[in-house]
Amino acid sequence: MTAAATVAAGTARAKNAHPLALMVARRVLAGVVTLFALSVLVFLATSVLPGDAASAVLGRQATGPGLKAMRHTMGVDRPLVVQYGHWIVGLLHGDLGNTAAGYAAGGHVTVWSQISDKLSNSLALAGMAFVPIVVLSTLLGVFAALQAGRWQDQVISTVTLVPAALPEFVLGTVLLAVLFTWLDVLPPVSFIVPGANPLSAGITLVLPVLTLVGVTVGPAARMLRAGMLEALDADTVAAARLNGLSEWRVVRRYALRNAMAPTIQVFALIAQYLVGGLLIVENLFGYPGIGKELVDAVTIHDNLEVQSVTMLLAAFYVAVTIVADILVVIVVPKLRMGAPQ
Amino acid sequence: MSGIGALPPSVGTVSRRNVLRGSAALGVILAGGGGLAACGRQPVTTAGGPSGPPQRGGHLRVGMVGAGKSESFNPALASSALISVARCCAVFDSLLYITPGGQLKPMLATSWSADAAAQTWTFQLRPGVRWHDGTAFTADDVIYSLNWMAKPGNDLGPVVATVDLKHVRKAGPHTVVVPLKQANPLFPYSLTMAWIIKNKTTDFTKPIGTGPFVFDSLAPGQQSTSRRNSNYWDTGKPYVDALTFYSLGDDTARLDALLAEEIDIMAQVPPAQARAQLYGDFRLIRSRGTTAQCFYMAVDHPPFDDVRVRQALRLLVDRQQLVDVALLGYGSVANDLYGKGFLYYDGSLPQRVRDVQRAKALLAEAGHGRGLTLDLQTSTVAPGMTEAATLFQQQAKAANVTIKVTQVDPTSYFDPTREYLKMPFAQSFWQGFYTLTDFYAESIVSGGYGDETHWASKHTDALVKSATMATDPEAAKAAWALVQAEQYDSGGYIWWGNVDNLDAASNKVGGLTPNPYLNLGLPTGLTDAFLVS
Repeated sequence: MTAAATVAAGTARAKNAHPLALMVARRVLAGVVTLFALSVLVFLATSVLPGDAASAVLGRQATGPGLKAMRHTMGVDRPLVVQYGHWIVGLLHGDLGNTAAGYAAGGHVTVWSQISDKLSNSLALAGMAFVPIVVLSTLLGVFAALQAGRWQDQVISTVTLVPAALPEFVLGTVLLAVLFTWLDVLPPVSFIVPGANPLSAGITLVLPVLTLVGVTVGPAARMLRAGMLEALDADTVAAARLNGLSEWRVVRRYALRNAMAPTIQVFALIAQYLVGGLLIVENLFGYPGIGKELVDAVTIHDNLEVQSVTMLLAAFYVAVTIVADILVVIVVPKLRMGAPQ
Repeated sequence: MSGIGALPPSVGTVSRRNVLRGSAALGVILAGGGGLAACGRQPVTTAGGPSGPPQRGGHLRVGMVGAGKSESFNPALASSALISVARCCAVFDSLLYITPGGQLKPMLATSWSADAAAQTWTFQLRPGVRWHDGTAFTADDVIYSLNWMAKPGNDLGPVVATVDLKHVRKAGPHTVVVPLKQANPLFPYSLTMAWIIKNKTTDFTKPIGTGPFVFDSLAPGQQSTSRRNSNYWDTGKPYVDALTFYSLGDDTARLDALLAEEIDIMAQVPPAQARAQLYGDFRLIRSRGTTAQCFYMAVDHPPFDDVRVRQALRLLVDRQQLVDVALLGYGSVANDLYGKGFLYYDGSLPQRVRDVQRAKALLAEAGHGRGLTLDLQTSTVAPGMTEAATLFQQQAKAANVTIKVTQVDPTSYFDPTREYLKMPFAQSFWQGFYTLTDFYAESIVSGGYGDETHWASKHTDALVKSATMATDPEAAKAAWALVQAEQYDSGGYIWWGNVDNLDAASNKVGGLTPNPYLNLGLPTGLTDAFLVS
C-alpha cells in the first residue's frame, strides 16, 4: 500500500481542510467501498461453487423431497439477489446468519455462536506470535543493517531465510517431527476445551507460534534491514556523523526515526499475513481457530458462514491497512502537514 | 456407498502432512538423529490391555475421523460419518443391538416376536427406563421414532421402508405392535442401529436420549463431551465417568494424539499406520470387517451394457494383490458379492480368480479384441481406494484394457446432486449392514439410495422380494442363492475385498471387543470400555 504517495496527492489538493482528518475520512470511505465490492465478489464466488450445504449435510439422502425441504429451510432455494440482500442487511445489523451445522442438528445455530470462541482463540495465537515476530525481526533487522556486508549480516540472513523459504506446512511438520516425534517435548495436537482461554494451556501454543515466527521473522527482518540501510544512507545521517555525534546517537535519533515509516508498513504486512498464515497453521496443529473454522465451513459449503467469516477477516485486513497508513502519516511530518513533496 | 453406518473412514483429502512427515523423518534419520531409535522396535499388535474385571471411573477420550461442521447428534443424519454414529450410540439407544458374533440382544426392547407369517411384529419395551431429562420412556416414543424415521431426508428411512406406519399401534404402555407391508423374518436386524428418540423431538442441538451417556456439549469439527448416565438401564454401565470425542480429520494428527496420550483410543487406523507407525504401550483392535470395497459398472452404459465386458473386467482383477497392496493385508478377498458372513450369504460359489485368457476371449467376443479404453473415477474417500484404482489400471493392461484414472473431489463423490450415481465406472465401499435384505434393498432393488450399478430389473426385484419374505430357512437360503447367483454371473459390481476394522487403544483401556460390523465395537463398545489407573 503506497499510502504515502496517495495521501500526499490527496492532501496537496486540499490544503485548507485539516489534512489528517480529511485523509482518515478518505481512507475509511475507500475501505467501506472496498468491503462492499468484496462482499459481492465473495457472495458470487461461493454461490458458483458446485454443491450446496443442503447436499453436504444430507449426504446420500440428498435427493427428492428431503433435499428440497432442507434447501428451503436453509433458504438456498431463493434467488441469488434475495439471498445476497438478506445476508448483507443482516450483516449491517450485526446478524451473521445461521450455520448449516445447526440445520444438521435439526435446529438453529447462529454463525456468531460458532465463531466467537474461535475468533478469540485465533486472536490469542496471532497475538502470541506477533510480539516475538516484532521484537525478533526489529532486533535482527537493525543489527543486520548496522553490520551490513559483514559476516554477522550473512549469518542472520541465512539463519532467518531458511525457515522463511519453507511453506508453513513444511516448517510446521519439521518442527513437529523434531519437537514431538523425536524429542517428545511438545504436544502435537492443540486440544483446547471450547470456551476455555487458550493461554491457560500455553504449551499447546508453542508449536503453532514457533511455526508462524519461523516463516515470518526472515522476510520481516530483511525488509527492516533495507529500511534501516536506506535511513543510514541519508544525508542527515552523514551530516550527523560529520558533526561527530556518537554512533549510537546517530542510529537512535536519525536512522531509527527515519526508518519508522517503512517499519510500520512491515508490521502491518505481518499482521495481515497472520490472518492468512493462521489458516494453514491452525489446520496443521488442529488448533480450534478461525482459520480452521473457515476451512471446515468451506468443506460443507456453508456459504453463509464462509461469507460472514471472510468479511470479518477482510474488515480486519482493511482496518490494519488504514491504521498503518494513519500511523505513517503521523510519524512523517511532511505528510502530516500536507506539504508538497 | 453404505448403510446405517455409512461413512468415509477418511474423507481426508490426501494429507500433505502425512507425506511430509515421512520425508521429515527421513531427514532426521539421514542426520543420524533419533529417527533411528525406531529401528529394532516392533509395531504394536493386537495383544495387550488390562486383565481383570472392569473398573469404574475415569475420562475416556476417543479420537475419530471428523466430519467437520456437518457433525451432529442428529440420528437422522448420523450415517455419513462414523463419529456421528458413535455420538448417537453414546446418547441414544435402539430397541435391540447385534453382538460381534451376530446375535440380537435386547436394549430398549426386552423381547420381540412375530406372527406366523413374520408380518406383524410385537415389541415388549423395557419398563422403568428414563430419558435423560427424567421423563419415562414409553411406547409413544417408539411410535413417534418410527414415523420420524420415515420422513424425507432421514438416513434411517430404509429401516421403516416396509413398515405399515399407519397401523403401528401400542398395546399397552410398554408394548408396540408393528405391522409390515410384506413379511420379513429378519426385520429386527434392521432395527439394530435405529435410534429411538423422545416423543415430539425435532431439534438435536441439545439431544436427550436414554443412552449410556448424557450430552454435555458439542463443537462440530472439534469435540463433544458427555458424562455417565447414572440411571442407565444396564445397571453398573457405563464404566467411565466421562466420554469425549475428538474430531481429528488428519490421520497423522490422530496418530500423534494417541502417541502423545492426548487420547486413549484412536478409531479408524489407516493400514499404513497399523503396519509401521504405531509403537509403544498400545494395541490394535482388529476384526475382519463386513465393510467391503468394490469397483462398479453402470450396466445401462456402454460398454458395460454388454455382460461380457463386465465379466471380462471381473476376470482381470487380481483380488489378492489388491488386498495385499491397497489394504496392506488388512482385509480378505471378496467374491463379487457383498455380505460375506451374513445369514444366507452364498459361500458355496467358487472364488473368482484372475484369468487373463478368458477375459481376452470375452472382450474379443464383445468386439473389443483390439483393446478397450475406460474412464475410472476414484477418490480419497476410503483408505486404499485410489491405490486400488491404480493397481487395477496395471492389472487390466494384460488384456489390452486401458483404464484412465480420474480423481474426483471427495466431497462430491457420494453426493447425489453432484457425481454419485452418475459415474458409469467408479468405486465404492459399503458397511453398516446386518442382513442381505437391507443391502439389496438399497443397492440392487429399483429405486434404492445406492443404485450404483443402475441394475433396475423387475425380475431381480421379485427375486429379492421373495427371498426377503421367505420364512422357512431352507426356502430363504434357496431364494437368496438365486439373487446372488444372478449378481455373481452378470452383476455390475466387482467386489474385491473385505476391509478389516482397525482401531488402536492405550493399554490402559479395557473392555474393547473386535467387532466385524463397525469400528469401536459400536453400538455398545464404549459402554463396555473401562480405564485402569
